[in-house]
Amino acid sequence: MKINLPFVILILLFLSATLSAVLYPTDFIPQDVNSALKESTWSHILGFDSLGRDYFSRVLIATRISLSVSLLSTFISFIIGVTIAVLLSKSKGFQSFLASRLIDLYQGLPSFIIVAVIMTLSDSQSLLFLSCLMGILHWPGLARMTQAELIKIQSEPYIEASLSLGATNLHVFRKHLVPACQKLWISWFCFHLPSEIMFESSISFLGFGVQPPQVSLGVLTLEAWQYLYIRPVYMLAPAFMIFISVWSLMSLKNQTLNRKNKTSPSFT
Amino acid sequence: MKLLISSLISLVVSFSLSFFLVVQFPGQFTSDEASLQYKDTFKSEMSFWSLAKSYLSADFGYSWVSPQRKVSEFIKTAVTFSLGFQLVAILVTLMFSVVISYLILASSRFGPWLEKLIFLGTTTPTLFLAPVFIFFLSYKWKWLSLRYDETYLSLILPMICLTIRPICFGVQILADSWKNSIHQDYFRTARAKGLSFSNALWFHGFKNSALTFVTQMVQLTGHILTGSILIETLFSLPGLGFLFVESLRDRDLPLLMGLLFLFCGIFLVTQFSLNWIHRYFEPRLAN
Repeated sequence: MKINLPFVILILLFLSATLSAVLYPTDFIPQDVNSALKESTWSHILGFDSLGRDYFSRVLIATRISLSVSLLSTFISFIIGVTIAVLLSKSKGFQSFLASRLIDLYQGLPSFIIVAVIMTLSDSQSLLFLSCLMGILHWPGLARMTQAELIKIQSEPYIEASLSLGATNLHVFRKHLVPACQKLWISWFCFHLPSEIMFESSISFLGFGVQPPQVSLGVLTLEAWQYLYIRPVYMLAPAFMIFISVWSLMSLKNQTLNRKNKTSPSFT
Repeated sequence: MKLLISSLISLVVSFSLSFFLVVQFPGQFTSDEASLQYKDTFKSEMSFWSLAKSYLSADFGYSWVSPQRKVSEFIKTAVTFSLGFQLVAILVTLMFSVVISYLILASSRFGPWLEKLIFLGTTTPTLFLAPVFIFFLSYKWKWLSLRYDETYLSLILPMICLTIRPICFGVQILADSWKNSIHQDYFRTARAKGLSFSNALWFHGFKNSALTFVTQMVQLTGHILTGSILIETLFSLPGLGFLFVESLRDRDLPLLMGLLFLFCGIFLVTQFSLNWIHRYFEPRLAN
């Protein structure tokens, strides 16, 4: 049996993020000044951070928070993007022209800068707010792709046939359009989730995303930045977590793309 | 004409966005009393139109943190650095992605390995790459300097960190479409007429595959522009991104608003002009 390495790594990552309390039961909250910046031992795999908290458990918690923020924002932008694509695929003429120009404009906005400004100037700096912001700003790519796919499919004869047989729009959407878009959506998901992880970590690294009592991979990297020359492991552990999650998802995306090419050869 | 209209629209949009995000944004942005008072007077004095009028004459007001300096001075010094740095970064990206994708196609021995390496490059976040490079290249082995000391040599490490991901993305796109051109009829014809493989690649395959590359240029420049904020803060380079981060940390609203306007304007104008270039190259898309 061939092992799908990226998939296994992804499952391990999600498991270690969700079950961290069971797998590695050391608490991440208690501070102990005496053990600050101590080297690793067998019971504390990566040692302690500058406030004497166990580092490895913090990395696990940070992975959990980063993954959940980016998953939630991906989910939000998926819903918005698909809704808008479905609405757009029905519109014609000037309406659709205007809508696509507006999406152009929206896509051109620098989302990184806007999220940073809003997160700093607003009252709420919660995780939910951050992920909603990221979700609201990042849907245009998906809307574009889905719209193009929908327009392509809607002119196919089998859609016309099922419509003329009396199928409702909802039926056509559920039975024909969703299955046709599935592969596109999976590859979009596998590309979008890592980019959201990177977005979240770099905006938290600059200090505008997740705020310090809460911890995410970017916050950990920022804390470790001061101790780069004494304890490079502190920098490498969260950065490696970012790398691993991005790598496994991108490899999965490549696999789905390759499989798509193999199973559906073009008959031109 | 179309380009002019779209850039006008983008200027209007970016101004109104920066106005509503910075001046009219609800909520307390700081616990500092003096800054709050500043903001109240700022809010009551500045209406949309008066600010727009002063922005039209490139007058962005005075900074709060250092009140004797104008915002436009800050921006001018930062722009002179950032513009050069990012233009060089874009040029480096273009050059290297063309050269590396040619290498992938030309050498059958190292090509697959290079391709795997490039894929690994696309999956490496800058936040992982930059600390590793800093730790090994500038701290352990002392090859490159970490601090920016106004020499070009100290810009090499930031440049590497900034361009490595865009290069990898560019190579992936370009190599894919270039590879497809090998199986096309016109390529076979050129080969049959006696052109060597590399000559046919350059003079017949490249032109057609460069088109798909141009489409992705929007994303690549976006990568570079947003990536430069992170890179400039990491290496404390005196550019626009660093200034932006500083102004956000100091809650310096006039400076922040000017920078936000500038950023949105740059992003939208590049987006529109690249779209226009793309339509110019590929007229089929205009319909």
